[in-house]
Amino acid sequence: MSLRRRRRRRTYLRYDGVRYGYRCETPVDLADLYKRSRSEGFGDEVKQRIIVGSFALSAGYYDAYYKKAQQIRRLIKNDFAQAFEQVDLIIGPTTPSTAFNLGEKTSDPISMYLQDIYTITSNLAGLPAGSFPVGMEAGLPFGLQIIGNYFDEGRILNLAHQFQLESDWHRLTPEATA
Amino acid sequence: MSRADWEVVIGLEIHTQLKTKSKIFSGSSTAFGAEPNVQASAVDLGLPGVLPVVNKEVYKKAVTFGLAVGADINRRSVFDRKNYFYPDSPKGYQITQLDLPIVENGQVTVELPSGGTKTINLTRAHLEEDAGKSLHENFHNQTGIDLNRAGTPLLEIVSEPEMYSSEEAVAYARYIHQLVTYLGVSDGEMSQGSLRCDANVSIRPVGTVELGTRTETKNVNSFKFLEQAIEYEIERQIQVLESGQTVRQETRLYDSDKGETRPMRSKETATDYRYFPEPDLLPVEIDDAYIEAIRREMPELSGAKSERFVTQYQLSQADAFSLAGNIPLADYFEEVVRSGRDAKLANNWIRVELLAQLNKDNISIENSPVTADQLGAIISKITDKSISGKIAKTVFEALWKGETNSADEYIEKQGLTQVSDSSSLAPLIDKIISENPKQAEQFRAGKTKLMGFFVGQVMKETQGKANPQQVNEILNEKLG
Repeated sequence: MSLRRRRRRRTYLRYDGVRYGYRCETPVDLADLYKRSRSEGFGDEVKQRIIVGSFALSAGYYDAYYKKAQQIRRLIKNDFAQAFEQVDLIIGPTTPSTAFNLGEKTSDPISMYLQDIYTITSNLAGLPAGSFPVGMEAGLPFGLQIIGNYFDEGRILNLAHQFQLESDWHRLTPEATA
Repeated sequence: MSRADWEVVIGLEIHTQLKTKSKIFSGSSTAFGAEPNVQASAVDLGLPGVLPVVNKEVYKKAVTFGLAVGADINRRSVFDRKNYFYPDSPKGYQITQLDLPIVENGQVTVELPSGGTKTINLTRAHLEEDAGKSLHENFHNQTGIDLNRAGTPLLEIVSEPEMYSSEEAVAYARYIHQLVTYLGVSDGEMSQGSLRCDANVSIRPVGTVELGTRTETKNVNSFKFLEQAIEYEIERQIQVLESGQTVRQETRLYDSDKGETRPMRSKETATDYRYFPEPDLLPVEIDDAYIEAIRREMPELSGAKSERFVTQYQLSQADAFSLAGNIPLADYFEEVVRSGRDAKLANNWIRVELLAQLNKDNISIENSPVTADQLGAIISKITDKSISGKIAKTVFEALWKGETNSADEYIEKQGLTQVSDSSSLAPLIDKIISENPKQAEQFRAGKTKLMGFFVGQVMKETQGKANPQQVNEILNEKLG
């Protein structure tokens, strides 16, 4: 988790209100411009990620969080490398469940974060992955994820294409729900 | 207590802009002096979604410098992010090298103006990107940002804290400046900010080992200011400590108009830069073949040059070191002696006459009014005994002042050729002896000191053109 938060933080550093994006009204000075543009412009989720990411990189905490996370990432990468010695592709669900209602999990952020648990491993290992619709459950679509070896994007796209030549899940749109 | 009771400890961080056509992570031009913001691409502006790409030439320059100072070249080096907000740093972070810089553990030996040499160890030299410029003038209480400089490649050369006077620090900075310019690593244009020094200065009571609290005076861009800034800091810190206060660890700025340093920001409240490895760039791995290829292309370095001067020209170790340590001066020397002229004589003329004049008029050797060819002609004339050393100085002065362009022509026009021909000197000497019978008698009676008198008379008659050795011989013969 730490790695992803830190990366968010770095992405948002650019949004200082100077060259692009939201800029606050009538800043009194530079610090005010930075602080208010970012305070007013970012939502709660972004702010939370910035704070966690900054904390993980702070002096004295780097080894405990960031470095540890890097080490774990290396283990994940090695694990995938071993798997790809035996298989060409790794296939599984893209998310643990179909879409939940807006606001349903606000009080349970962990379960909300876990929605992308199956996709972050390929991010952390730096592997290519693709997702495409393969069915419906209670009127809501769910996806299949294909993770391939490094530089094996062609095989992933080919498999998805072959599947879609034989199916039409990708043409269906779910009914709107209340 | 006084100044003598304190020992000064100085370490320098020298930022040198690398002489590359394009920036360190983008294709924008690095040329100096363009209209604001015309040389800033999407990468330099830090627009979302852009990715940096390392400029190959930057690595070559850094390795060249590392080899020149006998440093370790890290086969694997890693870029890191240093995070901070500042308007002229568009990404919100600077890409630099923290734990694995390209160059570590070098060493240089420099000559000190007051005599002797000093060896200084280099901790490291790492690559990073320059920031843009904040312009405070002509913006009516606002600040203008020019991002042309953002992303210009820098090599930050960090010394160990082992210089003990401003003289040593300035000699070291000059040496580095000369070296990076000679190697083509930087254009060395200090007026354009191609070399900027941060001076870390602390003092401690003489005889103690523990370092005092240091201050860092940033962005000093001339050697004169570097000396002044360090001297000011030394005096200030002595005053602070002697009045019972403590030196605050802080970053200071040198104000050259007022000749003082003043606090910029306190290190105690310093930003936590939250360094982490740059995820947008892979570690850079280089191999021995790459390093050796660069080594083969490098010009002769001062150490090798010094040794060569000893064997090729029979110069003393000290003379050779001194010449070789100053590349343009060494080049000048070699041009003077090119056609087999007397190297020791050339060395003396360059190091005594020429350097004294250059220093007096504050002119660099590259702009010397007397060219190597012209000085070479003088050396030739001395060697073949056409002129005496004294006349040679007259010719040198005439060249220096631009009264003539050619030593040969001047000697001929002014009729300065030395008279060594005994058939023309002998009658003159006869005449002088007969005009001064009293002195001649005294000389013959044993008052040999009068030799000087006779030589003087001959010189007067010949306007200094007589060959003194020849005159002595003839006089001894005639008066013996």
